[in-house]
Amino acid sequence: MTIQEQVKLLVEKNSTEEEIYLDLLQKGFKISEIELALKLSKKNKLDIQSRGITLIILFGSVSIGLAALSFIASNWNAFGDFGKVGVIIGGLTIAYLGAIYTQFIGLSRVYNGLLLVAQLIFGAGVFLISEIVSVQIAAQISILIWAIGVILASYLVQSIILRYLVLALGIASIFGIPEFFYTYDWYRIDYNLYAVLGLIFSAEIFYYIFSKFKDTDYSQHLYD
Amino acid sequence: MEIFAIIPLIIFIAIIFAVIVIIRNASYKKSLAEASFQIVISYQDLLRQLLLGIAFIIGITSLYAGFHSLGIEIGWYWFTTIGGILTTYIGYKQHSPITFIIGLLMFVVGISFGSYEVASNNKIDRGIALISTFLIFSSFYGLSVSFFNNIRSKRYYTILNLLGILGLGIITFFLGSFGAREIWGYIANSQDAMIWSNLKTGLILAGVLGLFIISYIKSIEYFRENLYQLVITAVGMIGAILVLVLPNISLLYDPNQMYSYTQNDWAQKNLEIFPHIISMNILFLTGVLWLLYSAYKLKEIWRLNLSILALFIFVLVRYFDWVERTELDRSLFFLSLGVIFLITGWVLERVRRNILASIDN
Repeated sequence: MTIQEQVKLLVEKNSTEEEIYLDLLQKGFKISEIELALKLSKKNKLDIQSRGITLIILFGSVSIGLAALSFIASNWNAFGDFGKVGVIIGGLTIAYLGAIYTQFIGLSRVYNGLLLVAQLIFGAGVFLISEIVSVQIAAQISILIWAIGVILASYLVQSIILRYLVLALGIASIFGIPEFFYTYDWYRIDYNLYAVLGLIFSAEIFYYIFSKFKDTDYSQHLYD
Repeated sequence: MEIFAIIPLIIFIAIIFAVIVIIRNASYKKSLAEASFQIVISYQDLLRQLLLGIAFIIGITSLYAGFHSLGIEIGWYWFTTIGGILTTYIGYKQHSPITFIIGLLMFVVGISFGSYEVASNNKIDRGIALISTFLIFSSFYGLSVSFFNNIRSKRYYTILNLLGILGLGIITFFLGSFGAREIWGYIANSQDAMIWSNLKTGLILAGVLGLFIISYIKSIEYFRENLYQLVITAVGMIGAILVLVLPNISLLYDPNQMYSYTQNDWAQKNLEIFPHIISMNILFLTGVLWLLYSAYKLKEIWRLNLSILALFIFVLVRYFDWVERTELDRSLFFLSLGVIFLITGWVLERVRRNILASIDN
């Protein structure tokens, strides 16, 4: 029987923490292992409801982001140049104001969802504004600009969801590398842009990792 | 069924298997002592390690783009190779096994594709890419055992060991299938003379050979205790390289002796390639047997699982490969497939149980 199962059994028997420690220490487990197993057994008690709510809100925000994208894409010509920029800035402002308000009243899940909506609108904006100014740039570069923005946002606001968005964008930009270098000719302006943006992106991530993740607790890892 | 359709499937299954094994061992379901990979990380730490790897990849790519936009043309593979070494080192220093793996993969991609591209551009034997990839994966194996005795570095031992074994296994398996006969065609009938006179390619090969030798010298203490491993690995590596190099030996003496096969020569070509395919299969099976034996000797369950999976895939794919070339009746085909599976399953289950029992003892 693994230590996890043993802890689960003992918890079900309503044993106190001291009894659990005593019992498992006698069986030859280390203190750090028991500590970890206990922590995890408590974590499993997280109610399914809260996870459900998180999922619903995330699904909602992604839907709103997609709706905004398709609305802008289909009615794009109906707006003037200022109208287009206005729609994007308006969307961003509403999403951020909503996020500030929900944080103020303590709805952390809705706050995360609205922040995600804001980043999705920002991404749509990056792609669409390049259309307004009629600059033909590679999608990989737009993704880099988007990712740089999202890292900046996740540095400024507290939200775990944005970290995962950064990860997704990073993976997307890596998959775009072969196409970018095989499809585009040498000496185009895109190469300069890519070089500068790529360096900013990686410098940002390095700074982000070494400032935001520095408190990672390595003590729970026996092998570090 | 076309063999080309199966090969990606095998690689896909192998990758899924590796991921499942890592996740299973990395998850908290087992206690730390039971996790044979010693990779226990939280989601946030996983995120940190992935982001670190991504930052390196994008940073190195942007350096390459920058150099090219300045008009300085350096092959992309140099950036990937050197970047890979740097990423691996930082991954090790920052306690980030995932970053470590990303760096190793960058290194492999840089050397393998780099040597292929150099060979293609200089119209020389493209088999060199295979030789260098072989040597790199073997170096991973050699380097891994230098971490073996240090309990704090044991996760790096496992990563390097697994990557080495998976890399060598997948290449050998692929080269042993009939689907790879076109690749053998390239290797066995290179359009131009041998490589060794070409400085650039020679440099790559020398570098990789150096790594190979250093990796084994570094682990000499371990190999002294486990001599069987060194002997089998050396025999396997020398065999593999000979199989890759031998077709070109005649070109060494007479560079003008070039083959240019037409469509009509396929039968002749197949005949020439057949011994290489057979020898690769023997090499693969020897490797699997060695893996089984080392699972028993080193008491590592993941080696046992991996070797059983490799044997299973071997039987399945070679069966399809064989049936494709014979006009077997469909019902007979499925009947014999069923019997083969039952017998294989029975044998594998027995072997596994026996080895598990002896490991426990």
